[in-house]
Amino acid sequence: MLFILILVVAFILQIFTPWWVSAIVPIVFCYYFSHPKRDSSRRAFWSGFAGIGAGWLLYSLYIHFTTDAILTGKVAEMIQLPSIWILIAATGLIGAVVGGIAGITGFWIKKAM
Amino acid sequence: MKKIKALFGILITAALVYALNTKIESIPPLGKFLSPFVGFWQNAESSNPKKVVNFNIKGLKEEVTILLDDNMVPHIFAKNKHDLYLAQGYITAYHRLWQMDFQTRYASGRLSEVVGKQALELDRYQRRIGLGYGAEKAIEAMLEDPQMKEVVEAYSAGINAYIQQLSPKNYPIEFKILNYSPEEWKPINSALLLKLMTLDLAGANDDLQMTNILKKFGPDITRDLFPNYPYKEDPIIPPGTIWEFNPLPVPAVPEEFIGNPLSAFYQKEKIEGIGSNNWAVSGTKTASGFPILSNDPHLGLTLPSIWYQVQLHGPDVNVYGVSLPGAPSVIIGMNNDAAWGVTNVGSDVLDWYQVKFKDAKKEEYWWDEKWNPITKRVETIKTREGKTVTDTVLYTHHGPIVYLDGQKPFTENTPIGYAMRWIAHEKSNELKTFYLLNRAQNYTDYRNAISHYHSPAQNFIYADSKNDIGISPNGKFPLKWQEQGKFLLDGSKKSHDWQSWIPFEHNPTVKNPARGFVSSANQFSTDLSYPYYLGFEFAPTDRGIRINNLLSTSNKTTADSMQHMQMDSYAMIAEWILPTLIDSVNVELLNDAQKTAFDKVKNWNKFYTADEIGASIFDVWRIKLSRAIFQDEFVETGTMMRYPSRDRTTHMILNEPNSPWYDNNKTPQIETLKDLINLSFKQTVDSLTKLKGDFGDEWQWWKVRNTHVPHLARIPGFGTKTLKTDGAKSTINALGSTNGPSWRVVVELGSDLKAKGLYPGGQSGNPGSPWYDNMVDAWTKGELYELLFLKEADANHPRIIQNLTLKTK
Repeated sequence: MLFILILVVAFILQIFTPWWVSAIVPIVFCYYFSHPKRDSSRRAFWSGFAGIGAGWLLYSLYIHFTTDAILTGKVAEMIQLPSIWILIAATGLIGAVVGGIAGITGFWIKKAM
Repeated sequence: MKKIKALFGILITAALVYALNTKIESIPPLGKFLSPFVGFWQNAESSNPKKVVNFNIKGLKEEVTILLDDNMVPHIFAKNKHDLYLAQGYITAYHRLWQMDFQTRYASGRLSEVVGKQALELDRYQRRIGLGYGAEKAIEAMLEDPQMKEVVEAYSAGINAYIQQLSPKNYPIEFKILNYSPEEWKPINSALLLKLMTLDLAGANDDLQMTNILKKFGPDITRDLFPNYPYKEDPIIPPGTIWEFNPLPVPAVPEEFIGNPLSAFYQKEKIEGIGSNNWAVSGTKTASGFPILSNDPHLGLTLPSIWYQVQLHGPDVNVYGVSLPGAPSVIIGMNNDAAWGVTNVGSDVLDWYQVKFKDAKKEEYWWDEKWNPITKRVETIKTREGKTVTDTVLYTHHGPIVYLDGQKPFTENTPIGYAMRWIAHEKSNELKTFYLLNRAQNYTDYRNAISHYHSPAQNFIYADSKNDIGISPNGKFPLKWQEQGKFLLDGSKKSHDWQSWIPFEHNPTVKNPARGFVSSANQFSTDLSYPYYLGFEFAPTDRGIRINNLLSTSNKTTADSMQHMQMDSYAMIAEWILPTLIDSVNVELLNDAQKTAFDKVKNWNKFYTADEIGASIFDVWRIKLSRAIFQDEFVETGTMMRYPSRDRTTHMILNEPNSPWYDNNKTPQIETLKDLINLSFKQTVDSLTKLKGDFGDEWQWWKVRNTHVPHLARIPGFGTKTLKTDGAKSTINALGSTNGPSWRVVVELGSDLKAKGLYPGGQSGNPGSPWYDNMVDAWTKGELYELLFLKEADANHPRIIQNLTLKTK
């Protein structure tokens, strides 16, 4: 599945590279692993969305729980969010939106070629 | 069509990535900041750090062991001096890098580079008062001294070794929020930091206000309301101490000069609360038979804290104490033989000289009967927005002309058109003092160490295991004529210059006084028998008197009783004036709410304990009363002036019932002291009701005082909540809303030296670390942690939780 592929590869790459590799990976994978006729732009979008978003969400949840939530509350207060869960959701969502838009872009490039 | 769509997708993705990678206004770059892989999440630390860690460090000569204890205090064991200070730099940066970067930028006027043009005026001010100019002179002095050169350079190398191995995801969180990178550390940064302390502790002045008062009221009233010595005082050097030197002749007082400053129209009261206490009790008065030393410096409270605990162990030294992140060595501490501490000396070491230019070109100024050349210093400020602002500062031989006619001053008490003569501009090598104190073994070593010290002047207290104690109000003091610099000075006359210095041997000092203790709380250094003028006003004497009262009646003193004393919140000022205030109130004229408040303050035990409502009422009442007395003449005039001191006001309330100052000249009738006491009491109740609602728990002192520890850059969420604890600015536990005891320590000297201490913060500067603010609760309760002073690198000690090894590369 495209989503799993993006999740795993982007996750590993992000450990060593700048954060915007999470836009590169969906573009590349949705380009290579899409068929311009058979596949849909919707599939590309959701694969990127979930692949990057899940990575961001799960990793931030992992850090949140293994560090006794030490920083989540402080940062939520700093950026004036009413709850730490909104901060965690926002983290996942920002990654997801980047991944989704990059995914659909990869598919569109494929269709244009 | 498909190509356009693809292109559109690429553009949208690129724009999104760009937007999320950019700091917009005060919002951090959201993608970069929220990414759990590189963003703030990476700064969250676990409470179980790895047991053993190795780092390879370039420039290290031999292996260094750093043991971190359960309070995250590093105990550094090095085999040579170079490695010792390199490791201190390394581990300090490891915990406090952003703080060091920020403080350096603040001191050198480079904040605009990272926060943008909103900091431009602040940067300009820091440069115009010549902080960088002073630091350049100081680093010159340090580098000329081979010993200090090695120390400062090794310390810098350690900081840089840490910076070099940092990857962006490991940057301290504030770098991520403000979206910038750490830069190379230079030795001059250490000098900047020390000059910043001088700005903090010896940078306040009211010469402008005093001149305005002199101009309006004339010399007699000015001397009456602003005397050169307080009515009540218990000086640091016990009265009767013999001065063991032949005084130098004091320069003659020149004819009177009244400056003509142009200035803004604001009024600021002198701020109380930046000060400190220290005392040392001789072995004759302690249970152990050895001295006990106590110190609690009161400074602005921030997270990360101004202090960083460290133990330095090398071939010729074993010292433990608190350091200033950015400066090598320990500032307040103890070694195997001795302990020392500091409090601030409020001597007048900042004066203003009226400058007379030859013409509008401002290239020459009149001084000593001739025209002299102005020197120019060009300051270049870069802003985050990419602008470069240059600012030319004119210097006379006195110092920088901080603001010229037509320039708007950043702080209201800066006189325009005046050159600033300030101790911070002197070439100095303060680090040498601390380097030597770290190694002091006896009283002679202590005196030698402090002889190198310039500014900010400190009351250096000392105690050792040979049963010597002593205290020295010490620094480089100009030899002034009586009242020199109480008012603005004439920059055209040589007789107005600082003409020479008080020799170190003539600075006040006392060793083993008969009363069995030495102490200081920022009050006057000496009684009037001292032959030199140091300033006309020091901090109010309340804390000093309370400390001396407690110490002179104590015997068989222990560390616990000293710790208890640090938390004392008894109000001398209430003892002095509250009975008079209470007696003057017309109880029958009070309404119910006022009556309730009156009963509360009447029965108050005069301790500023956290939940006392009486303390809140008294505190507001006292301030309202002094305003009621002086506001009409000193504030509502359009000219910048100041209030007479608390000591003078207290004396007036107690001894001058018919003083003309009580009358409010804005009303037709004549007010008496009694009228003002009643009026200000009613105002107090109104004001507390308005602020905190009807009489009740919200009036408790801790809620009114609102002590909290904010983040250094005031980042919301990174500071503490309001802290429930005892104390007020005028009590031994000297607490204001954001200042107070920034370190509390008690050292028991003797063959088995023991110490306990803590500060309201934590060793780590990382808000994501369990050691960011872990000492705050204990500090609030008045607890102290036992300090682990190791004799050797014992990695198996039960309190050691982490073992760092720095290896050569």
